[in-house]
Amino acid sequence: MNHSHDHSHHDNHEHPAPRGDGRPLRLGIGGPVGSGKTSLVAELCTALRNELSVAVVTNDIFTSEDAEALRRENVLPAERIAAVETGCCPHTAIRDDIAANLDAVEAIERRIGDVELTLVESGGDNLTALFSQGLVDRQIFVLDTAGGDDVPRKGGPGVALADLLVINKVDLAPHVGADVERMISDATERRDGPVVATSVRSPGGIEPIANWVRREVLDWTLSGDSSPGGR
Amino acid sequence: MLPSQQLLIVLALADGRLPVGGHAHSSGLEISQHLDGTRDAGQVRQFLTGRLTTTGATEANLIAAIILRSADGEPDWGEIDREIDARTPSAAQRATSRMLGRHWVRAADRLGMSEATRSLRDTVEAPHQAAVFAALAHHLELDAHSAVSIHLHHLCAMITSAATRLSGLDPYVAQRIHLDLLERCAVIANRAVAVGGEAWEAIPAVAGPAAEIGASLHLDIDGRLFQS
Repeated sequence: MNHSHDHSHHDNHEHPAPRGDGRPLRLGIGGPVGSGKTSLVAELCTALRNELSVAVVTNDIFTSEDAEALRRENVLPAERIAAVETGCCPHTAIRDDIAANLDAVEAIERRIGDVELTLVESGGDNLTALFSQGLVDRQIFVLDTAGGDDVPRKGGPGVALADLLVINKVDLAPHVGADVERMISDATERRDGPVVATSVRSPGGIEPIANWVRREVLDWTLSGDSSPGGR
Repeated sequence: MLPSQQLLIVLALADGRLPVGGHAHSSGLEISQHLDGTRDAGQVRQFLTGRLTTTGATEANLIAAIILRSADGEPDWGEIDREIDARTPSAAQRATSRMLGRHWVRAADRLGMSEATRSLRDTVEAPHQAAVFAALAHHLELDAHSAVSIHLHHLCAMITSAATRLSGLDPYVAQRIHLDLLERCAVIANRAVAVGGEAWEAIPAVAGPAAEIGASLHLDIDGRLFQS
């Protein structure tokens, strides 16, 4: 479901560093608090870690408990995960003032050396938050059925412009009275790119997302497309 | 330079939207809140006054000294780096300073002014924020008064806005604190410029032990919200 990207309407924006220098694909994971971003990141790392060299920069409030949980679950070695504090401004850190996140991303990529995919997880914000093109090359926006089935209709930059929209926790839909089909059709009306409805924590639930990521990484590495949003 | 142009440059560098990572730093307010419950207007005002008159004044003196030493060409960046280190006894604060220095180096580069920091970067691998900022200010032909004022402005803004976020301090109250301290900032700035041309050993370095110790303790806050 890839659409070609018409570049002409914002041809004066700066591009990130050209891909030709072997820079990894930087993928942002955004969306409201509790929608399942952290679970998605964990499941994605588990699915991809034997295929790709992955690093994670997280803006989620990071505690020693989280660090312990990561170590216990062995999702990724601790040195492949960096936490960046956002000063209570999660949207600022991914969109308006990306200095700290960019610094962390570059540092971890330099330190590991052969990273192919860097995930940047936002701190969980509202529907108006969006990753800067200066920080990430592609972004996933994660909503969930328990967050309200009218959310896709409300739209917002995340719903409209994310390269992949995930409607998570479909297994909870009956319990919260959410109409998943309506969420999918509302979302499809609001955006051009793909929509995946799933439950990332269910067996196989991450696969549609992992497959999308695999294609994006391949595309990034092979096709020479360094423009943001190869939708 | 056109009339108003220098003022516009000052405003651009003083703008909180300049992407130099400042929003993620509380300048010690977060740890002060943990240790001393610094939450209400009076406490925040007292905290900001303390920072301004100690580490803030030291930084102001450093910036003025660097700008004045840049008048006849590139200053001795190695010596400057050692002088900043010597005046920053807290290892955590030195690390933060070099991190912010990195953010400012990137900003200068992305804004088409990498030349401003070239000599500094050639001499010091991870320069301190004060040095990078002073190099950039000098490149933009700002005088020591302007540069020091911008620095003190950022310090006030960082602390007052961190207070609104950490404890919901009324933003009008936060702004009032900032404005009430402007005269104090001006005094600090004037003193910095007055002594900036002296030999290093004659340039005062005022210690702020609570902030310096707090900077290390900040790293132990579980689930901390700010980087410093």
